Amino acid sequence: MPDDPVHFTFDGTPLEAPRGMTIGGALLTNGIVSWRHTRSGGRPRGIFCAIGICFDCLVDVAPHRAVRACLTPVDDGDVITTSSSPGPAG
Amino acid sequence: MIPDAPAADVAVIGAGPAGLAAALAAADGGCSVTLVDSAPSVGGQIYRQSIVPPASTRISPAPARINSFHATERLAPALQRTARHPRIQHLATTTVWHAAPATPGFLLHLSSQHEPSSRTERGQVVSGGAEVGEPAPGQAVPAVLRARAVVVATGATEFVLPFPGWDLPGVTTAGAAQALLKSQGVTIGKRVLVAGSGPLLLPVAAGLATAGVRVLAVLEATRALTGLGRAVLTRAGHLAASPGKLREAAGYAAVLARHRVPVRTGHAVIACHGDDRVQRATVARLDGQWRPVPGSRRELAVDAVHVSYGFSPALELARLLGCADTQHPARPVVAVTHDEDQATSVAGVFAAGEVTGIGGAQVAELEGYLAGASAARYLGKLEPQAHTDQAAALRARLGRARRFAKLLDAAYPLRPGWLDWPSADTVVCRCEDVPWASIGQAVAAGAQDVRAVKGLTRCGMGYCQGRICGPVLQCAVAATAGRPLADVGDLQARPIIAPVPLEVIANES
Repeated sequence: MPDDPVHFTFDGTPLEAPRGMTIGGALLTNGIVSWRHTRSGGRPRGIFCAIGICFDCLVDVAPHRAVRACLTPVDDGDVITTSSSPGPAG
Repeated sequence: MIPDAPAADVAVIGAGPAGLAAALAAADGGCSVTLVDSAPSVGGQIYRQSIVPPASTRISPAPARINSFHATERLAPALQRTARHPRIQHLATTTVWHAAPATPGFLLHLSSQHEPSSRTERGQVVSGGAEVGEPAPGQAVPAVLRARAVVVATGATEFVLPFPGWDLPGVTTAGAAQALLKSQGVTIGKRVLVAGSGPLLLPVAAGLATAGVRVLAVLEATRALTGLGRAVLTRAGHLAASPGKLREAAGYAAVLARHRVPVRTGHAVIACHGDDRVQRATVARLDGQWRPVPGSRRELAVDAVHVSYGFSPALELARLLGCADTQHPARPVVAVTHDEDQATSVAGVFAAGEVTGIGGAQVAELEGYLAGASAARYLGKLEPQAHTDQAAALRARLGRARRFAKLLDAAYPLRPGWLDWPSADTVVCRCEDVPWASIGQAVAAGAQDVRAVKGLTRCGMGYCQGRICGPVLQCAVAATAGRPLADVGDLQARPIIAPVPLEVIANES
């Protein structure tokens, strides 16, 4: 891991990742490939398109719910959790 | 009706090769230009910039040449001039969610609040503004922008065919693997397959192999192809036009050979298996129609599969503005109709790049210059003779580039045998968990076009608004109903073209 990594937690586990990554990149770098389940089928979801189109990668990062992990930069102190949201706010 | 909205002569939507070129040409033609793009930095998907300092990536960053086959190198120096142009204002991480004609010109409704705004420099004006007036760099993006002319350069979305297990984590688009590698130096798996059809597979596989990923094979579904170079070589008359592209393809082939990555034509991943992520993939040999050859299936242990079957133009904005379009006869590709100046059927709206048909970065850039110059002439900023001179030079190069694009399109035909790959419970709509069987049931129940099937099944009603499953649904409904693609329609017409928080809409009224 490089100097000055970003520190965050995922479902309570402390993790770190290179600064500047997206949440999706940071989770993948830690070997985590899914962080949501579909609302009707309960099927696991993670990164699919990685460019903000598919919305597979929705994740909760307090206080926000259901942000796209592939677009949202990871930040120091982020509390990231498996998304409990049925969908994007609104 | 929002009389005080900030105004630009030309709004360019999309900052890939087409949009950047259009912005430059319009600005050089004397127009004030606002360039709107959803990414933090310009370049689009094809000239994707790294967002992580090279020193902090775990693996060495992808070499510059590892790009899409359609692209040549990094962002062309000519296009980098957009950042310094006094008449170009760039709105980053900003999406157009609605647009409408509003005499004079058009009103574009902007959102920069898709993701949490407090976390980074979201939705900021990053350059320009000197001559455009407000907003200046660093200020917030306006909610509404008025433009006298619009250049639609919204690009395309990757097309992925469904198969059992295609929605398991670890199965991604090929473009996703490339985007993660290029922007962040991130790879998903250690033993992977790159599968699908089209020229994107080679650079993606070469990039992964260079990054240290064990690429078990590149599986190209098209059978009568032994590498892209071969496909192109069979029509040598066109080669002189694009020797650079051939060198590029040869470069990828050399990288793959060096890493002992086999390229198998007439093969596909037809199923993926695993509990919470992909652990095994079923690979099959295909016949000429892409039906799995009996007895040819075998399972491979993998931890990621990257799939691409081409691209579908992102037409939402063009549709919203009322631009006419045409359906590709054999692919889920609907292209904006345009004249030889890139003008669409709507006065003041121009189109460039993948929205006019999948042609690659070179076609996109040339169409962009032409569209931008044509917008400047339309507004009376560029003298007709100056436009004529520019257009003549651009059209000559465009002719050659488009011939090569046509050749590529013909080299990778989509075959109907994929309809045999999904099983009854294979999810088609990844958002709404709509199973494959329900599509056929809806057609049997009388639904004869995609909108009717959507209404019966919820296919395409989820967060992605049908961007992923829409092209699949179009192909499936056409095949099942026995109708041409053009007759079953698509899912790209909608009044709100990007998901926005309700507060964005509420704050406007």
